[in-house]
Amino acid sequence: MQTETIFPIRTPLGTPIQITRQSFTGRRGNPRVSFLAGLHGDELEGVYLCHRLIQYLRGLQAREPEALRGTVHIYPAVNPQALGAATRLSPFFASDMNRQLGDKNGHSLPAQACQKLLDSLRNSSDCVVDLHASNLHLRELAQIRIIEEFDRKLIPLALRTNADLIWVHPASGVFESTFGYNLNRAKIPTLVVEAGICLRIDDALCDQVLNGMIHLLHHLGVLATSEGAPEVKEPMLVHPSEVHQVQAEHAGLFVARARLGQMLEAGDILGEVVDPLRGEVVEEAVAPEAGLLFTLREHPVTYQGAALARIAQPSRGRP
Amino acid sequence: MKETILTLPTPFGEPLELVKFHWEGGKNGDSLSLVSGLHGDHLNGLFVNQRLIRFLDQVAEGRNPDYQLAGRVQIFPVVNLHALAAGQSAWPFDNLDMDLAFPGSLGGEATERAAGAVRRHSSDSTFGLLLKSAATHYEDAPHVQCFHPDRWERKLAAHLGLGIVREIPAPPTFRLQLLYQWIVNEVTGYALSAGRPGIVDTGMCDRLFSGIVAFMVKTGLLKYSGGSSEPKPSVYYRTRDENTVLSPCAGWFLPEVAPGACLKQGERLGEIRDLQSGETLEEILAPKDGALVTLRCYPVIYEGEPVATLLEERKPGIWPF
Repeated sequence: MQTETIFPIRTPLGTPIQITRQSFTGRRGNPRVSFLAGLHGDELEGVYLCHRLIQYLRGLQAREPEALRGTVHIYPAVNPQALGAATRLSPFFASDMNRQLGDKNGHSLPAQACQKLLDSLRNSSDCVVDLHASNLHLRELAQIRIIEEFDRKLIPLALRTNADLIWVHPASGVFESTFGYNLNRAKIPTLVVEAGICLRIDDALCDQVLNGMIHLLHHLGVLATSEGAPEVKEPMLVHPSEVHQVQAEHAGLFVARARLGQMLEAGDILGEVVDPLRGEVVEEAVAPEAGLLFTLREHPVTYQGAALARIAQPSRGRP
Repeated sequence: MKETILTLPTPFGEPLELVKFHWEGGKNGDSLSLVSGLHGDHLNGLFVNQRLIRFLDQVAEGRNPDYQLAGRVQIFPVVNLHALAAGQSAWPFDNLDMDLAFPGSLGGEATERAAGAVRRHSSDSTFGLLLKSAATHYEDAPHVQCFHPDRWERKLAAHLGLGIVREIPAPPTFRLQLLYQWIVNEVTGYALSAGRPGIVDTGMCDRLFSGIVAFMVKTGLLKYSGGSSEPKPSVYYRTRDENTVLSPCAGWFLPEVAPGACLKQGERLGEIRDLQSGETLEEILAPKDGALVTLRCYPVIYEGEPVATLLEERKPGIWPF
């Protein structure tokens, strides 16, 4: 394993902050896959997944070095200051590391860091996996999110990731400044993984995604282990019309009654919104359609319009 | 007239109300929207808008006989209600920069709903002015920002009387900003930036107030019986005229100039000292002649962070011409 610093930042206290890359190098000319985690400092599942992947590859190098055919680069903690504070944004710069990229990137330090990171990924990857957890409000099943214009290239890869769901959605302005969008525009297939919830680590979920990543590395020809690729599940593939979002009609505390991953019938109870000051249930949220509950609100404090759940219809969604 | 345009219920108390103030007079079909408080700590814009609300109430009630309303004006003084109440730039509950929440939505989360309401109410205006402060850690000299303005828009911007009209490069997130939403809806939109977050600078607010009143007179939204006056000359700067000065090292940045200063190449902007020993590490010099539009005001600085933005004047640049 080679360790490299992509972007050292000198802090006012004199200690450097570094974006580190760990590389497992195979034969030149073979495929190169990069894993990226920690763009948001409160999304820890991806960081942990990188740890698990590094651990796996170190073990593989020791016991079966010839199994590494291609190259794996891992960027396990690209926003170290935010990760250290466990906040989505870097506490000093208050900038979102995944909203910095475009034609004109500005001169702020986060913008400079993102440009260096993007250059590094572009120059050393044939495929990128960008690992995210959800925000503080929602918990998600393991899913790959794909912008429609990139679906032809990405769906065949996403099918190999052991995800529960592949969600193809339209482009919108909010994605244009992200790593996923800019790498895909640069013709480097990039899968954006969304799994779990921020500030937590779900070991079982990480096992599932790790198996998917190892399977993907086999599929891409980066790995050829004697034990072969792990089995992966067939994810549900959904397009925008097949995803139903349930939003709160009232403010209050949301208490979930359904379970993430549950197959629901139309009318099943998702949870209720209660008015804590008056001791009243102000809303009973129900499933508008049958399907897979793949997003469920975790944060009880709820404002009108807040997302409570997302349901994917399985009937038309199987790839 | 004060009007509630959106009610945001809260889980633990009374709902918050997003309001606009509006006035109408005369037969001028044009209209102006003034927006402040997208960020809860951008206080200069809010301070200017409350002065404008009082001024326009006086005009509408005939208590300021020099002025008469001739068009439609609406003011949205605080858009990010939760952030203002929290005393922070963004609402801590969603941490969403509201100027990245546009076009917003009618049925989304609270921040998106507020953004959607303001966009909907302002996108049929003839003119839009967004009042803001510099980014966190910086202070701006009062200036006008515009995006790809045509010749008429450039000349009109000079009537805001701030001396600096600056074409801004579109940031990667520009499509999520209010100014972009105005532009695609054919609203002649400008952002007026002045001062720093968390501070009201009354001198800067006076300049903004006078400039906005002059703008309303120039656009025919207000009639003024006191005679006409030429605007203070302004300089128009293109994006290529911008020079960003980066800090060569980390430590204290101690400025020796103020935003708005006209600097000569080689003139000192300040110096960087070691945070703990106080040793002077670098002096920061102006790389070219130029107007200092943005200066770092938060003294602790990382290596490579911007210290200042200078706008280089190229001839011919003085307006009106």
